Amino acid sequence: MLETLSFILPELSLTLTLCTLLLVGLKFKNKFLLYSLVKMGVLATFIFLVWGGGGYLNSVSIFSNSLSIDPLSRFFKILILFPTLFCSWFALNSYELHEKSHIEALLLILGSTLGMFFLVSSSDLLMIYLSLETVSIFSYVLAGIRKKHALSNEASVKYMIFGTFVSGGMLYGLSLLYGMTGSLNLLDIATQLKDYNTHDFSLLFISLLIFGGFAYKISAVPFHMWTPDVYEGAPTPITTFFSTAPKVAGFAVLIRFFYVVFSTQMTEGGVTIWATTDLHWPEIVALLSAITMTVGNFAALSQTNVKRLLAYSTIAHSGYILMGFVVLGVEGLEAVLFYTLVYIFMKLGAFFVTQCVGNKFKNEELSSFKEIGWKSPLLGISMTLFLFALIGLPPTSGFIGKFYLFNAALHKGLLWLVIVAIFNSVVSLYYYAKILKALYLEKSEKEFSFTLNFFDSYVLVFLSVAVMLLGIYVEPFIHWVKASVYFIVG
Amino acid sequence: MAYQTHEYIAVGMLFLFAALVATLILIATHLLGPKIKDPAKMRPYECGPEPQGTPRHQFSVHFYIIAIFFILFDIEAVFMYPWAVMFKKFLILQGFVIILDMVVFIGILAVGFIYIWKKKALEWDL
Repeated sequence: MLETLSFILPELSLTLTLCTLLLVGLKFKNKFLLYSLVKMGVLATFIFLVWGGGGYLNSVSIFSNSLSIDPLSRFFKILILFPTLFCSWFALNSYELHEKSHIEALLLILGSTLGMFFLVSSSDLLMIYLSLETVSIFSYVLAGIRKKHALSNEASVKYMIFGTFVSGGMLYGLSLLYGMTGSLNLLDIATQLKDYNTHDFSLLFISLLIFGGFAYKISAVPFHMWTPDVYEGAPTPITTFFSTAPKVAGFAVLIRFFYVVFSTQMTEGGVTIWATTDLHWPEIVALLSAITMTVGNFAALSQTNVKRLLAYSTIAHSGYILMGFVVLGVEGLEAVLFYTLVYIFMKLGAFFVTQCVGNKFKNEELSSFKEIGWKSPLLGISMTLFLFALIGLPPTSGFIGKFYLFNAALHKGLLWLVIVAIFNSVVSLYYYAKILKALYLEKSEKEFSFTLNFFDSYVLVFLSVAVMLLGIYVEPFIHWVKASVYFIVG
Repeated sequence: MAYQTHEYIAVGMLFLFAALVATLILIATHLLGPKIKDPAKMRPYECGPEPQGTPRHQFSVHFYIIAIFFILFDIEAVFMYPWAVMFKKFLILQGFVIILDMVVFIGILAVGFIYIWKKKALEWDL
């Protein structure tokens, strides 16, 4: 029993941070003290993840095969820690969250992170559902944390109703899968399904139902409807958290579920690929990926609220990542992992700039961005970098990420998907450039001055450097991604 | 196991019979009883004194909060039942760990309890 504990040290340290933060936050309200606690907890978790060794080097299945500690889960857990750390700081410095809700926001963000940690390592149907619901319920509360604000309440209610409905559908699919195979463990189900007649319509139906549950978390069409309203209504730091961490966790569980259950692993000439034996979900998901990209990019063209615009951009990026997902091969998987890595920093940066502007002008419309590029050069330059990364221009990391995705899709032969993606990237240039135009080419009506305090500047510089670094000095990160693609647990 | 339906026929008959008797009694009372309507008999009953005002007043939302707390700590108690059943055997086999597990579990919930105590959620008149 005690040996198993060494495998879940990261989760234990997060729980300890949560409890300590709760007790300390009852007495002390100092922003810096609370954030230091969060920072120490996240640092301890990070240390356990990177130097914990043990299961993360050779995959281990613990708690009667319900959790799987392997390199893939380690990669995603490290990735999830960044939004936790940054969004905690953003939440403590937002004009939308009062002092009284600071401690609750931090606790809910940490709790959501804990749920995501379990989600990315779950190898059991029950664990997947439980952790997905943990993350979702924390998110519902986080979206509506501004109790007196109508938009925030609307966001929370929309998110909750939509989420519970789709989760119900996913649960139906999961229970049908259990009924068909008699086992909850992903590997056992995969072994059982090998003997199945995969022309069976029910298996396709089940796979699409379960895909729906995960697609809702990653905002893929047709489960993307909640994204603009929830992102616009929730407070900006919470939106930042929503657009980064749950998306990453959703992709992690999507990969683990679909690559283990609905595909069979083969090794051809030293390269591992996955095949689906007549079950046509990759074709359907490829089509959904194309539609997602198109919907996300075209709907963003007419937005005037920057948060809504970034929400549609999130939908579009989910479409790009799904493109790498349907390529059932190691190349595609590496592309997906690398793109989620670069995507987190781009989105954190873009939303943080929106929050800085929002803190100043109390709204996040495009009109508030006018002339900011001249008044605060740091804000302008970093926003330019983040937007260039989101578009996918070299030499930013967004370009490298998109390059890997297109490369993987082309090698598989999905030329039409790559053409759609390139077309959509070009279209996305327009609405990102709208922000750039407001920053540098438009004059605002009133005179104002913009000063950033030291910590905001520090965060901006850090995120800009991260976005550029991942695009220029790619080698160690690709190495890390390649080492993380092992997750089948025996 | 559900195929041995002949074992459950007795339960089904009992259920039907009970429903039948209740329905018959209600119908018989309705048909055979006297039907004299009187204003005093038609008023809602309030244990004697005259009813005042409407029966609807604002329901305190605090009931809901206390119900949620009850669910949480009740589930904690439910988790303690299997633990208690296995306690003696595990104490002999593996020693102190079994107690430590439950202490950690109760500890996490105790932290939550301290939170709701300090946030004044246990006081009624707020």
